[in-house]
Amino acid sequence: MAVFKTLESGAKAYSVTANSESASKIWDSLKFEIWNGDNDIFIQSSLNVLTALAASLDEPCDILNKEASLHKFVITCLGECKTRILDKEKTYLSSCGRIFHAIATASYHAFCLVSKFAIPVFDTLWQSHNDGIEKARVLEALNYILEARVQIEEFRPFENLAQLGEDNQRWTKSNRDRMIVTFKGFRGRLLEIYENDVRDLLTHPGLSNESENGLFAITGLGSLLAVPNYLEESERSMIIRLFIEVSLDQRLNVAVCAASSDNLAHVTTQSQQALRKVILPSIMERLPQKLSSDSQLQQSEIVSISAYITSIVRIVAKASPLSGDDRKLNFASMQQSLVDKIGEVLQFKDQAKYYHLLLAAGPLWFEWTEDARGDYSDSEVPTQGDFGGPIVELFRKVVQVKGEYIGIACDQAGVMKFDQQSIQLVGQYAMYALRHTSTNSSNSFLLNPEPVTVQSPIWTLFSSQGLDGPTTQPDLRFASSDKWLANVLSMYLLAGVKKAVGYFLMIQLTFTNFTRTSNSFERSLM
Amino acid sequence: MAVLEKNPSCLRELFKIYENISKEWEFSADDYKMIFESYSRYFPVSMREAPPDPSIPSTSELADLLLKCFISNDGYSAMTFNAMIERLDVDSANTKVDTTTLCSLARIEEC
Repeated sequence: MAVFKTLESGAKAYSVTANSESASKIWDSLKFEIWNGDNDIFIQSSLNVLTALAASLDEPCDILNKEASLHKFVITCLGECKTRILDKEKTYLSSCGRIFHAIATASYHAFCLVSKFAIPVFDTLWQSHNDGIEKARVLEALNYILEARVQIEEFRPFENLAQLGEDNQRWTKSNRDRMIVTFKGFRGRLLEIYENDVRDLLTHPGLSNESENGLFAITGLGSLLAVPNYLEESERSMIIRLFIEVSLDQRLNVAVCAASSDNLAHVTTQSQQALRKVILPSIMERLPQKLSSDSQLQQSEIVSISAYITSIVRIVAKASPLSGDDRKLNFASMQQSLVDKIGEVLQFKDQAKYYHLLLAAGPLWFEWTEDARGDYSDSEVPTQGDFGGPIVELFRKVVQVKGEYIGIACDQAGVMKFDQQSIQLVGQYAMYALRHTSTNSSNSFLLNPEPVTVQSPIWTLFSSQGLDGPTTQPDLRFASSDKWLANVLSMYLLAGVKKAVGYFLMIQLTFTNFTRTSNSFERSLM
Repeated sequence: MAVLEKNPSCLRELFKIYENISKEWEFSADDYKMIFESYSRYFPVSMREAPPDPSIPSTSELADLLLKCFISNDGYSAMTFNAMIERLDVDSANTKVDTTTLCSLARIEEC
């Protein structure tokens, strides 16, 4: 490894003249390691040396000068790779793709040279194949070029541009412009290749199990989306809708569906609007109005609903927004959609299994994002934490004030709308939210309820003052069944309270109520 | 002076001298070759055991200083690249031989 480190450091440190004298020798030595080696650390180290070498050879020159150092080096490497690919495509396509990636990420100029050469080669190869596995291999190699295009945006010489000489500044800027124009020239064709493959997959879903074609096509589309200012708005929307279709198609291979969800999560990271206006509505509209009464049909509906909700939660959970505000908005958008759906489903009878699934989304999100925490801007500390709004609304649907006590919401016939399992799910959801790392004494929805004219159905669970008369809530000697269930909710809220000084008063008040209750209960047994 | 030097503390100072003079002065091709042969003999840096005294440089510190010698002047570029490429071929072959030997001892036929 010291050898590779020295080669790489040398390539970075020596001048263009010094490097160009040894470039072909270095290439001749490393190419076999990359093509034929089996130690991935050595292979990656070799690729790093090529990147450093290509970067070091990039100097201001006449673009059309084929004797320029970088041009000669890149064309030599690419030419030999092409020969290998045409000779034994199956053996060398992937390793050559990695070489193209290593050189393309070296500089804007290098990317121009590589993309102009390599993309047409891959396009021709892709067209020449009918077999899904062979097409997949080509897409895997083409994805390396797309990945290089995305990554080169992270290579930001503009930040250090002022440190370069005037010549180098002009050179870098003009190369960047040329790279953007060159790559845009391939836009239509690249979109066609990848869209074609994905639509093929949706038409023949069995293909996704036989090859990784679907996976590479999804990855490629994700890369195209990630290139800034590359696609038209209509093209972006088309790709997002394709991702949605693939992520929800249960006929497809699980890995392909998950890859689509991950890409949607990435889209959500970039744009909270895409989540709210495109992704969530597209998935929510697939949810049925209610479960069928036919048990067989109901079973398949439950499977579909479960897949849709899991997909939504995965997308929102995996999105990694930059700020806590965005994370809060994403979660709130998701939860609001689901809470609204619960309201719709509640209008029908015998839908317990349906709203169990809807209710389970919240706890599932918490399980998948246990360690995730966003940072809030100083001016915007949320008053109810990340989760208060949707949870309060959920409690308002579940809990109902009934004269002297608080119970569970009932329908017109007096039958409870929510069963025990539903209450457990709501309680779990509230408990996770209270225990979340972002919740503290100043933003806890339990300790800081929004000012309301009507007592909040949440904190009145702990109220020691009567609602319409003497206190009865903590006294469980005289209770209808829904009062017990409502108190189960209060237990979850209590379980969510963190052990912090600010919570001490809360614990004290609650303990007093429960002590009184348990004493009463014990006396009743004597 | 440097031919028989093995003391890590002395080598630390030596490598710094090589680096500084290479950066500041221009030499003839023969001089570059002579200096290169002086420090390249220590590549790769290895020590039998970690130094007990924290004031004594560690293996990684010496390796970094040695690397700086290699890259201190364009005059070393061809020699550096040639030496590293040669080592790459030799090390690669040795690794494969070692692996094969180990597998033979372990009677693993798949190696």
